[in-house]
Amino acid sequence: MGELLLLRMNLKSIKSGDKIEITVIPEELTGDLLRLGISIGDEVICISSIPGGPVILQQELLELALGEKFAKQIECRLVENQ
Amino acid sequence: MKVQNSKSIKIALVGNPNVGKSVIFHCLTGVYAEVSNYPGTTIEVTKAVLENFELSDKTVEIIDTPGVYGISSFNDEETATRDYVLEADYIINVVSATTLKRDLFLTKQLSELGKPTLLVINQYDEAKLNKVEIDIKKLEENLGLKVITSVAIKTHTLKLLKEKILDQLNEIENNFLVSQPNLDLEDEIKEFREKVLSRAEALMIAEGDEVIAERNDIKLDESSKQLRERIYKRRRLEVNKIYAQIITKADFSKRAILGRLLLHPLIGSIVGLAVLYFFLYQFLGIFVAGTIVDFLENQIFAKYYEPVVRMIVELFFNINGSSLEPLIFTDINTAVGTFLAGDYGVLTLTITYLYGLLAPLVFGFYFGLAILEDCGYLPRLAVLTDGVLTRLGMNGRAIIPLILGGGCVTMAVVTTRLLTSKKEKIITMALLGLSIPCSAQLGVIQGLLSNIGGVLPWVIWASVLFLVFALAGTIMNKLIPGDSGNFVSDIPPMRIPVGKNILKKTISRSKVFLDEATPAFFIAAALVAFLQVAGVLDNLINFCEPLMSNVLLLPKEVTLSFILGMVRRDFGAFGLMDISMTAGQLITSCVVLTLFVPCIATVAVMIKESNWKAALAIWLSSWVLAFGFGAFLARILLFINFN
Repeated sequence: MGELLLLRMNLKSIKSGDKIEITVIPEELTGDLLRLGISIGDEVICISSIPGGPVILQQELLELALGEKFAKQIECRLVENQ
Repeated sequence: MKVQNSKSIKIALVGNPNVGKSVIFHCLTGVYAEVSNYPGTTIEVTKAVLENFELSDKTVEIIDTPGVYGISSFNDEETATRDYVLEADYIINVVSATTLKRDLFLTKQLSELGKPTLLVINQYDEAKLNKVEIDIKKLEENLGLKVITSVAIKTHTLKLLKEKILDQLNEIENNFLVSQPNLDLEDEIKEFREKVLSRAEALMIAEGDEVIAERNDIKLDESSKQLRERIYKRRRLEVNKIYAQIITKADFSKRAILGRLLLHPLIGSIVGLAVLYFFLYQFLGIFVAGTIVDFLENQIFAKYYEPVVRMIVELFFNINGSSLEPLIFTDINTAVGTFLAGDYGVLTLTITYLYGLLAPLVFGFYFGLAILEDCGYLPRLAVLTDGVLTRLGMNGRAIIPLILGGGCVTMAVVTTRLLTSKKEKIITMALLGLSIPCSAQLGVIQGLLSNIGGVLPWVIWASVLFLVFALAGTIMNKLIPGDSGNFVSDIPPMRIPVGKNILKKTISRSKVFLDEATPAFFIAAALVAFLQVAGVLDNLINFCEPLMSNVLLLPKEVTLSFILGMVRRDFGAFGLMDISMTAGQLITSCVVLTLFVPCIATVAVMIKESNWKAALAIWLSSWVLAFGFGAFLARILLFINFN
């Protein structure tokens, strides 16, 4: 059960400091994120997650905020716990 | 490179938001384009001709385009940039060394358009702090473009940069055909290539750009969306491959602590409130509206300027300063004198008000805003407020127009263009009209509130405003169909603002504001002065007395502020300072004035940006809200005996 839950994580279920790998990006967001440098398989670090608000990700020197609705549709896999 | 039928060569300056395009534009042309440290600032493009420089014996015009992540039509900024890029003969693509992986997507796309392109890697110094080293040669080989690096923030390097860019442009002009960039995607665009003018347009259509397709009478179907995704994915993959090759060394472990703390939910919120309090209450209210305006108005204008003007006018006319009699019918000489230099005289009051009160307040507001902007605080504020704003039918992006509204609501309404969905646009516009005071008004109100003493009046005023804001937003979110748009924003690093840029930005914005305000002020003042000498003012004030005294429990003289506020919002704050009121009445009038109708200019822009129905609805609801909340608040304050 615990493992199943882990498999279906989205960007709003991770915590600040977590390192994750993006696994699923819904079609309607793909274009936007590809342009911003984020694609499936990328490893990113969560640097903050505002309750009821955006999640902020870091990839190298780029910091990116994704609104809650967006973030909930993007699935990921935990690589490293804080 | 042949240029058809155009008098000058056009170069589009293109790049992601916040990479320093405008600084490079300034470096090349000497023209100041608005520089900001948050995405989406350049809405109107700035163009300038390069002096003492020609390509193919033609003058060269540089166009500073809005920052975009790709050339397409995802929003208004992109549409604008896309058209300038398609028109351009040359492209200068500015990227940031700190976010190369992201930025090179646009670079790759631009290189595929088949236009001579120069790549400028900016902010190289910032990247070096993280020990990032870029193999420029390899990048040039991979992209087939000329690449130069720059550190744009320092003045002495700018001159060098200009020389380098111009040298490269000359070189590109001579060698473009030889060093033509690697153009791929031939298969994808083949289908469209024969039907359109240029390779660039064919690429746009292959990527599913509906506007360009329509211009060429080409119909796009579902498969074109998939084609775009395929092209994007492949481009991203290629860029990542190039990126992996060119970054020879990097250490991303170094973190900017302050920038991070401001994104922390709790710490960020506390800092946000503190910034609001210090900026509005301490800086604008106590320092600018109190100390500076007091000095200018009471020391300079009241002591030196007005008496001199009165003396001169009195050489020719009589002045009956405070007369509310219909002088125009009885004594034309006194009427003219009073019109010019009476209590509401166009030469006395208007000038004092414009330069003694309005100018310092507007300047103060834009100065504070420029600091917040240039240090990179605003994108962080957008992130923090996104959750709340989403629940009110907008998203974090709306914080920019909402804050700009504190400068001038009219200008802020124009910037609602950068919002993507219709719903968030209309809600932001409405909230601007209903609950955001503009700088002069804000300044006077902050001054009045700080005069009462203590923080409590300010807290009451701010709370009522927040309540109206939240209530109106929630209701509109429920009523207006549609989507509030998605929030995706990159967060630029915090930077120490450069004094010169702050000053330039403050002056240029204040100037725009004052240029627009001055004629409107003279008209408003002339109207009031005329009403005074025609004897109508007194009648009007008496006519509104029941509304003021029974509904809002305010002295009848406040009427004048409201009438003026309808003409020019900032003018409305006039006079409140001179009317003697209890603390409770002062708070009530500050609240009512803040909520009261947007001025004529704002309504006009609202009609232009949406439609007259929406503008009228906003205008009428602000009457209801202002008087409804005012009446309610007045009674509560009376009940708790707040004096």
